Amino acid sequence: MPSASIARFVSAALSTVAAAMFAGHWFLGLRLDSGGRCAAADFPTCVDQGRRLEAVAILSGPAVLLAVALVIYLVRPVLERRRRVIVGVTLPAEAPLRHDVEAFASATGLRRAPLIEVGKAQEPFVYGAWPPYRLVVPVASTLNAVNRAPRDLALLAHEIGHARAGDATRYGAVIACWYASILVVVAPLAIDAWRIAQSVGVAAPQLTWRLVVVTAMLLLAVISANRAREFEADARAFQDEPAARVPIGPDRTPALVAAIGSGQHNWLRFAPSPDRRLAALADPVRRTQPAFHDAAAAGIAAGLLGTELSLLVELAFPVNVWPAYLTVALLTAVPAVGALGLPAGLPRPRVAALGLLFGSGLLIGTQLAPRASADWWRAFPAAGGRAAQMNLFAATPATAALVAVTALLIGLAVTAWAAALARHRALIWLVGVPLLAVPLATWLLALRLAAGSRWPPGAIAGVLLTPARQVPLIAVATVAAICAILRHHQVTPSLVVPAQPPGARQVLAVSALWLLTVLAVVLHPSSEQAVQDLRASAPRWDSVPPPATTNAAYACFWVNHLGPEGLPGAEEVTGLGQVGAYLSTVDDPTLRQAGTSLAGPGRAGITDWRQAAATLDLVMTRCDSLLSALDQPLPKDTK
Amino acid sequence: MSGEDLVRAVLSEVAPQELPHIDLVLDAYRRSPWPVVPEPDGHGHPTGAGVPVDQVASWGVFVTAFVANVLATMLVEEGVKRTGRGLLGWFRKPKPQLTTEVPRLVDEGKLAEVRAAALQAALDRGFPDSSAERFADSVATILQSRRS
Repeated sequence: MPSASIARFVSAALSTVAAAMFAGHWFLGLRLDSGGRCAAADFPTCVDQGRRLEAVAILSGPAVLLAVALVIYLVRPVLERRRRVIVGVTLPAEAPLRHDVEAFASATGLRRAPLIEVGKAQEPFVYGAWPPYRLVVPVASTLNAVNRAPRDLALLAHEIGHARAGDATRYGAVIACWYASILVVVAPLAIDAWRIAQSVGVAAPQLTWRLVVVTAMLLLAVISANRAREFEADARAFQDEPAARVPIGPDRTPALVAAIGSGQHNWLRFAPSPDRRLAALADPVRRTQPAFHDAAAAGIAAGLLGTELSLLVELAFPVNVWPAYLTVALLTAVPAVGALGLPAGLPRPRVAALGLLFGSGLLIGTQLAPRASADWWRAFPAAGGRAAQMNLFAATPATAALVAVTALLIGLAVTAWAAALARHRALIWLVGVPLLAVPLATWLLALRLAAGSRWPPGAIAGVLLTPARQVPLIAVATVAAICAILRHHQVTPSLVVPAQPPGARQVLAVSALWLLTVLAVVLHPSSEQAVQDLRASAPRWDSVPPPATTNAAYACFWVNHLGPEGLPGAEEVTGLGQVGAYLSTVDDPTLRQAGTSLAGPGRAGITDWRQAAATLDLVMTRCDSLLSALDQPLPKDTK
Repeated sequence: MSGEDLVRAVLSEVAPQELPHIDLVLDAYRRSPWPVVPEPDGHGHPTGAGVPVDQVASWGVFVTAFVANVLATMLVEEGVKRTGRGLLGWFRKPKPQLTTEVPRLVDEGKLAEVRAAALQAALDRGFPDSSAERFADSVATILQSRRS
């Protein structure tokens, strides 16, 4: 699994990108109100173009963020050089310090030794956008190398450790992302939201606090990434060959410990405290053991990305949301599984805690996502159903509790499985990604239905636990169970690692998950009743007659009153025929055209369900557009 | 004897092993001078290990700063005048001139004053008492020998 600093970098980068996607959607999608500008003529083409523009708007956020981050990333080393390097002073070729640096670099396996510069700072440091990095040494160090000062040489070894780990690139990227997110996402979004606070209402404070929390979380990720790289550099300072120890003697431990342990430290410093560094040096397990906050951060990043990405992917699948959510979950699971990275041999309580924290992070991430701030279509009517509420507090308490518990279970199951197979990295990537992605897709969809449509738990289960949606879950759960069982048989008899848990419980857990999934599908017919009940209780096209008018605005009020659940389904041919017959009489050409299409030949209803679903979506979009563009009172005479 | 010569002469007594590499230090000082005693919360690397300066002290760096700062202020006042001209001079930091001639010391009292200042600076810098005494003696001896 990747080192801790890489995992933390991934989490920070994902969170930044997710926030930037919302910023792009806000400024170029919601604020421009592109759907409302479509004229009746050639409305479908305009809507298609609107979708493309909306996708471009969402993607433009990360694009601008990355462009700004790239500039910051490239400029920072230049500024660093101007501020902290004594330009023009060159270390002679025969200087002892140069020999030391080359010896350390060679010992740690660096192909190209860092370029040495003389700096104004009191301590050496490594910087640069890419290898070979630049090692800045204080003027004093050039002479201390002559004196064989052990602390100087130990610090030098530590800095070479940084160069070997290549963390200057990652750290520079994390810092650049953070600055760019403030410049491109947080500040502009918060300012703009408050500027139009009157029209967006409570969304402005809701959006602001989320942005502040995400920014604080990113700052913690930056500090965390930096601390992780200091531990790694300390460790690398010891991971050399005996021959490489010649420059500073047979044992550099006391020197390095003295050097890092005697510095002044306060909690505001980005570097870890000397006590923690000493503890990490003394106990290597501390360096490889994932921290609790790492698991939570990985979950939050996945939740953030999944929520924001769903908006983009839904544009590609406007009719059927299941493939959209599956795509989102797969795209999210790849970095999430990487960022979660677990070493082998973790004790069970720790695995359980990490799993629960990952699951909690997943839940928190979805709620921290800027998209969850409000029902955006209320403030921006042309935003459509895609911008529906994702705030779980909008759901009924029972549904919210169920969704929250499911997030914890997903986190626990995936983490426990990954911990049991920690030694088989290829398997974790190949099976772990779909193992997380499939339930995550179902969960995200459940969250959407619970928060956006306020569906009760039974109805959500009825919609989601269909064979078509659960076959992938059964498939990945089966493969995961087989992997866990095979690993159990491989490891237990040979007792390669005595401290390794036997894995029987993991196998049982995975098998139980598999059984529950199959049962859920078997029990599906009973849960379908809940969906039918829900649909029966909602206003339906056949129970609420259409207004006796051809005015398109009144027709749209009727359509919106029914909502997607109240309109006939794509396979209800008779209903499609009747709704189509009514819409084909209204005074809006687009709705008329859609109505004719739904009515089909002889007004018997369209039989192609895909075309029906697309047309119904078009009707909803057109009505959103028409109602958002209403700028005068409706006529009293509805005849 | 210029300031740089004085640095070399002092260094040859207190840390002769650093002498072959002092040119780099003098070059660096000309471009970016540093104080004799770095500030406790100086501009270290924000992500660095926070090593106190007394643990990474070298004689060459200290002697250069002492001669260019303390000694130049005491003996060669014109050497620390601002190098800029006109209005810009107000905004520029004074750049001590290590190439300026060190004047001859004729006053016994002034010599004692210089020795005391050298001792105090070395102690402030964190050098052990015996090393600080040796440094102060060598400064006084060289200036005294120039006088006779």
